[in-house]
Amino acid sequence: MDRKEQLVKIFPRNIKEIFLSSSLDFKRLQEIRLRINRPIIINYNNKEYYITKDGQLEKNGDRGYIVSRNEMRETMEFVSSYSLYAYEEEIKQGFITIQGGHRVGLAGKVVLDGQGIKFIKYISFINIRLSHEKIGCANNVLPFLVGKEGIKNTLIISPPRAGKTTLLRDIVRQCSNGNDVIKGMSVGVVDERSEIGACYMGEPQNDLGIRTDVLDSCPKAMGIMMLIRTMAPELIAVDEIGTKEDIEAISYGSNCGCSIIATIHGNSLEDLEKKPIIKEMIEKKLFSRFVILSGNHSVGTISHILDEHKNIIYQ
Amino acid sequence: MKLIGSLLVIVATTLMGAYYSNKYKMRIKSLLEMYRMLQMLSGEIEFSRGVLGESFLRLGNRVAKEYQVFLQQLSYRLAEGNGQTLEENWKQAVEEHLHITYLTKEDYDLFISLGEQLGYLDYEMELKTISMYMDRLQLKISNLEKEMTTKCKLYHTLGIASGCLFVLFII
Repeated sequence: MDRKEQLVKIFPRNIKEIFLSSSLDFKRLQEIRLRINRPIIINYNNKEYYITKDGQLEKNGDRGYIVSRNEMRETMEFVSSYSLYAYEEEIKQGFITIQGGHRVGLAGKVVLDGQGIKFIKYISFINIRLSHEKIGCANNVLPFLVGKEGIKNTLIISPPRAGKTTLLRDIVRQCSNGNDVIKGMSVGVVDERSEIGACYMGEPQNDLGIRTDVLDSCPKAMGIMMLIRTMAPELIAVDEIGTKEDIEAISYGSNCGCSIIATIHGNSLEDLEKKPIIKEMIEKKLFSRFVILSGNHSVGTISHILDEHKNIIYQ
Repeated sequence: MKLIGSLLVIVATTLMGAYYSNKYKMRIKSLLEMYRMLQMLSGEIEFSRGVLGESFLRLGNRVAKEYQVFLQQLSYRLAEGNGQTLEENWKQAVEEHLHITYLTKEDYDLFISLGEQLGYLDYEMELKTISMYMDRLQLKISNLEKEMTTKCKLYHTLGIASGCLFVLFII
């Protein structure tokens, strides 16, 4: 099933027809936003457009197709395969991953219970972020991460939307498959927010390689421990670390002989050192490579790579 | 000749009475099967928390033959993503694949209305909705069972009596 078919399946009849009749190249489509009684807005080729009833792209919102309450409800039925109850855990987190690895972000009336968010009802805002794999985007980085014993513990530092997960995904894929730079190894991925593998019914929708095991929707600290005990990975990959528990689990994993690759939000190493927990982790030399991404250029652009002594080894 | 003709008429109306009596009993049996199916569906949702399409497919192998095709076809419809809501798919699957002659229009309407409720509810509400339909079904079955002896006797008696009356009238 191609990208277009996967996507239009989640829309009610009228919206489905609009996308089918449009001449959009779905590979360049980044985002579709549906808001109740508001026009559909799409992000195409890094630009925002409205889409009209006959599938034309418009800069003027007056001609944009307006989404009704009923269409919103039907979209949720299709997104959840007619079973909203089966996605309660995902809805609590604010998103559902659909076939193809596309992420459907949700907002509406939040229902709370004693422990936190119980459910989101009257879902009235939907943001569909289309999954984009960049096969080969780690080609330039990988040689700097490989040592005699295999892959070095690496921390990818990046501002939001600069491509840290995309880069991590490609590193995982290459380490798992193996190539001229690195021998194939078993990789364990703890995918707390389903962003790395974008699993749909347990199956990764993104290519993570042939020797990769994925713990989907599992808290990072818990998942690292589980993987070490059960799947014996040589490399563990996690996205967006930051809590004390994450750091402790990474430290445990590292002591067990596993290599770790993680990502973290930040602009630079100095920026991260302002946070006490992260500073301690850096000082303990838990990571030997720091890959800093640049948020100013296209997704996945490397600003520089540092070693454990904070020396620049690539710029 | 007259005697043979009269006997044939009485046998025919008696059989008709027996047919209606049997139909009544089979209706109860079909409703009980429907109840059992909803019970299993509720269990599937409660314990596996899988999507409805998968549950219907699994249930299709465990329910009585009369509901099997309906569940399987409904599951295929949901999987193909035909752009129709659960309500529409459910109704069409009932109309096309659920042909139980013993059920009345009222029974069908009750079953169709269940499809209007499922698909967009949270876990608790989904289970409560199915449970509510099971209660309604249970009540219907209890009422039918209470009247079964009387009604069945009535059908048999009416069958024989109408035959005799017809014969008397003609002779």
